Amino acid sequence: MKDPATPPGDPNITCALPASRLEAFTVQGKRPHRAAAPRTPEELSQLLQTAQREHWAVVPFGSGSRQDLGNPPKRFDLALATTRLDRIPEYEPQDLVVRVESGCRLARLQELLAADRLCLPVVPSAYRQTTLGGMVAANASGPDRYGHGTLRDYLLGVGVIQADGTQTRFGSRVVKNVTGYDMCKLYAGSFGTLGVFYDFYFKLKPLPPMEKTVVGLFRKLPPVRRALSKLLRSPLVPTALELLDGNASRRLDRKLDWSGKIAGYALAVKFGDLEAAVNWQVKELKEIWSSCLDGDMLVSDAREQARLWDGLREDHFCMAEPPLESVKLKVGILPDQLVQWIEEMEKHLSGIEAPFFLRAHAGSGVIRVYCHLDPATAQAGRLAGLIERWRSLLNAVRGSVVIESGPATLKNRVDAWGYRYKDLKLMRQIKNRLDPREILNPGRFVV
Amino acid sequence: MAVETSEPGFPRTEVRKELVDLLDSDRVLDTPEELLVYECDGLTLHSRMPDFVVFPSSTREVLEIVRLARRHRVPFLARGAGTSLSGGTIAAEGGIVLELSGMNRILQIDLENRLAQVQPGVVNQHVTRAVEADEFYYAPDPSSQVASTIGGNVAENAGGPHTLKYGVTTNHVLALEAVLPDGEVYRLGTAAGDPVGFDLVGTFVGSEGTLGIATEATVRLLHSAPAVKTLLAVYDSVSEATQTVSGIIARGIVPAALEMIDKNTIQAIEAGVYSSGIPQDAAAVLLIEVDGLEAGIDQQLEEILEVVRSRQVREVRVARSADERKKLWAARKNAFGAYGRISPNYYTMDGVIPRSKLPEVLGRIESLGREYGLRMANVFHAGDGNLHPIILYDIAREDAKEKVMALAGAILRCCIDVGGTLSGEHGIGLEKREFMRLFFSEAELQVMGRLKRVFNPDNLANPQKIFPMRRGCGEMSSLSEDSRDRLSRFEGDPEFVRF
Ligand SMILES: Cc1cc2nc3c(=O)[nH]c(=O)nc-3n(C[C@H](O)[C@H](O)[C@H](O)COP(=O)(O)OP(=O)(O)OC[C@H]3O[C@@H](n4cnc5c(N)ncnc54)[C@H](O)[C@@H]3O)c2cc1C
Repeated sequence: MKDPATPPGDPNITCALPASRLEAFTVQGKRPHRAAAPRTPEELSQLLQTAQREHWAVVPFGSGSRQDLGNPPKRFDLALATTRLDRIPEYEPQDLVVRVESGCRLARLQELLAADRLCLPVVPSAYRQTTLGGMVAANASGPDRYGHGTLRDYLLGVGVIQADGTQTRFGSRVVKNVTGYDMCKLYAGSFGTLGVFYDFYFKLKPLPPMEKTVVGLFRKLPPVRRALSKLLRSPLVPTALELLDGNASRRLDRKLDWSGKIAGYALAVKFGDLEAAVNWQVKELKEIWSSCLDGDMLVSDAREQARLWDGLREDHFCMAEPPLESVKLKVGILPDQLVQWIEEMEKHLSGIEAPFFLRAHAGSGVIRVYCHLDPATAQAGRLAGLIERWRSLLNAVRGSVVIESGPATLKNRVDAWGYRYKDLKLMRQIKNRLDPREILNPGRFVV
Repeated sequence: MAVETSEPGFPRTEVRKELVDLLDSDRVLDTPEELLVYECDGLTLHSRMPDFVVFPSSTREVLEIVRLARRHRVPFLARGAGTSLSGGTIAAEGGIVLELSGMNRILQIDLENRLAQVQPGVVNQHVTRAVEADEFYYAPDPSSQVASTIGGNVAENAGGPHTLKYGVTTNHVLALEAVLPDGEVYRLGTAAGDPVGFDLVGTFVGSEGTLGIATEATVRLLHSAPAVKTLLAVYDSVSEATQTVSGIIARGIVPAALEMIDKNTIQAIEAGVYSSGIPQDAAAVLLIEVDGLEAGIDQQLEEILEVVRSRQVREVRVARSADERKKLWAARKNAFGAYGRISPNYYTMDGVIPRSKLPEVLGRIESLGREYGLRMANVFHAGDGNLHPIILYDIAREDAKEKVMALAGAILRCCIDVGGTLSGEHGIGLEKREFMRLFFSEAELQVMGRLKRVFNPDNLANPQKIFPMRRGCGEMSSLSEDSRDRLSRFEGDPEFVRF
């Protein structure tokens, strides 16, 4: 089936996109030989059958907002755009369940849900562009993960085209299900290496009636540690809990035009609940923090709050201006070692002699490190060494350092995932069984 | 029905000797008298005796036993408390049962990171007991929680009344240690940030012992909610009760628990010593709980009461004290024990439907019961749409078993027809494996079969579970031409997995 609206592309495949569009599908410097945008699962299935036969390397492509993740593709023959698979075929507000196609943008889904005061409470960066397919592939999450978890916790069912083109579906629209293996868990976070998703069933949540945010400001790290520990041992139930270092908070402040309102270490805490519960928690937090704070405490009004969280979710404020190159690392640690790690990282990173910014999903054990490398220096090499060092320090707790984005000069030196634990063997075998010809995203993931 | 027994396909004497060398004879059972209690689990409709029951006390010993089993090609499976309701704990091909009740230590409690690291034989409720003084708890609360083990919960992905708000087992397991059928120990997942690579913890949880034996679990702890409100609403009509459930969910309220108890169950409970004073002529009862902070709890309760009162409800009781709350829950908790009073035998089923279909499906199940001439009861997690139809029967009656199985099949079909699935929390096991094709295509079964092969290539770990065994000619000819074609295409494929 040719698309009449666009000039013809590769005549050997259905729903091909014209050559002029290929540039847009460049992944980490690699351009595909062809691209297609199927409208139905059947078309998608046909394309994968062809790819399997021709041994084409396939990269499923949503908005492209997360294509910096992982290693560059080893081979790249076909970009499979999911953008035309963007329907919302089933929506049952009274069941708190929705079925949505993989190319649908998250923002569009949320608009629909918000009209019924519902939401999918997982809001990662690139909120406006990101598609649900890309989000599931990356098991994306945002600041609200402290209270609401990651996408895997909401995925009830998944429609997958297998590497050989077979159409399959696992899970269903019910909210609790142990029929067969929990394939949704295997697929969430599999980075498009086990199959291409065509749709999903998600569980929904009601929007909180009210949200308020408290930002605690700290000059030094030890009080941050005390403040966090007190909060985590209390019955308070924040939905988001974000820590910024001084560099990051200064940048965010500038971006929001807040003229120095936030500075130093900033711990932003969001509560979302019934009004009475929110107000009580804000009051309680002020109280439990009164003894450990060495700076100010701000309670944001509704407008400020929206801007703050938009800013925090989108991490543009941590990104470099050319010619400097941005590196973004995701570090997995035990939650109670957060402050210690931040302290160590600051020391280690100053040795790189490049600007750096730290932020963390506090309470979830996830730190993001942003570093602005000057390509004219040896900074990339030094950072590569540091990544290796951190990885070995984290071995004992099975922690991780993942390069979420970064220039080739860095990725050529260290593997983006650095996964070396024994179960890697099992992951390889799974990949091998489900994509034996290795056509799905070859070389990009840990397997 | 007894699963077919045949001569073991392994050198029994030699295996016995090696087991005794490893564990000493007091930790190896192999006489019929000793093995009898291990012949079945909570699902008494199936049974089969294992060849050996062994009691390992460490990961090391589990590993040695699995290696031995692998060497001699002996089927093996773990057993926690044996409360599985799907026949998951039955040694379908004999072999070795590893009874893990001796591996019951809580290895670490780490409140700063809100986690506990436990051995698989730890009883669910003991985790909460170990941390409740610090106001923490382990959220998944199967009704069997005083007996069932974390290992069994992990294998079955157990749920419970409060999983409506807090999620099932898989949402609370961060990491596992497991001995896999290849005779190696693996660590899966992590408590340090997000795991990298495929989510093998999520894949293992709910795999019913077919991928290996969990020898350790790192589970999440939650801070207990400071405030709880519980209410019981009594109805004269089932549909008013189910409409209330749908109404609560549709209002966007997620209670901590939302359970329904039907008339036959009420009568069974009230006939016993634990009577909770529910009127015997009530058609249905809803047990609803909200929890959270003290601030706002009354408003949560009010919103629920508003929905409850918008339908025809005979009576609403709100617990005013912890004691009263316990009493309201007693009815729900004693339900299973009570059926014995009104029926010689009963069979607990498990199916899930979209919750908005509750009124329709409950009606259909009731008429199916009449059609098959069997009495039924129902006590279930209404908020999740997770039904537990209970078939009451007398095994002494002629055709009883056949009739029960036929009715059970009809009920499962009915769940599938409305977009539901075969099981919400009890698993597929032996019980429902032949129904898997109602829900999965051959291609989908093959994908899961390939996954199974990665972990369990020789099919020694808990064989015959989950996957359908039958595919007789009758079944072949009932398939459409197209699916027969697809099937033969599969069978020609070197990757084709026979389950
Ligand atoms: C009265 C009653 C009420 C129940 N209520 C609920 C309920 O509310 N919710 C619910 O979800 N279930 C319920 N169940 C079912 C049952 O209790 C659960 O499935 C429970 O998780 C089983 O735990 P167990 O320790 O008894 O496991 P077992 O029955 O001993 O084993 C179950 C399965 O897990 C495997 N297994 C056991 N340990 C391990 C291990 N360490 N590694 C790998 N595999 C292992 C076994 O091989 C078997 O396949 C109920 C059962 C009864 C009898």
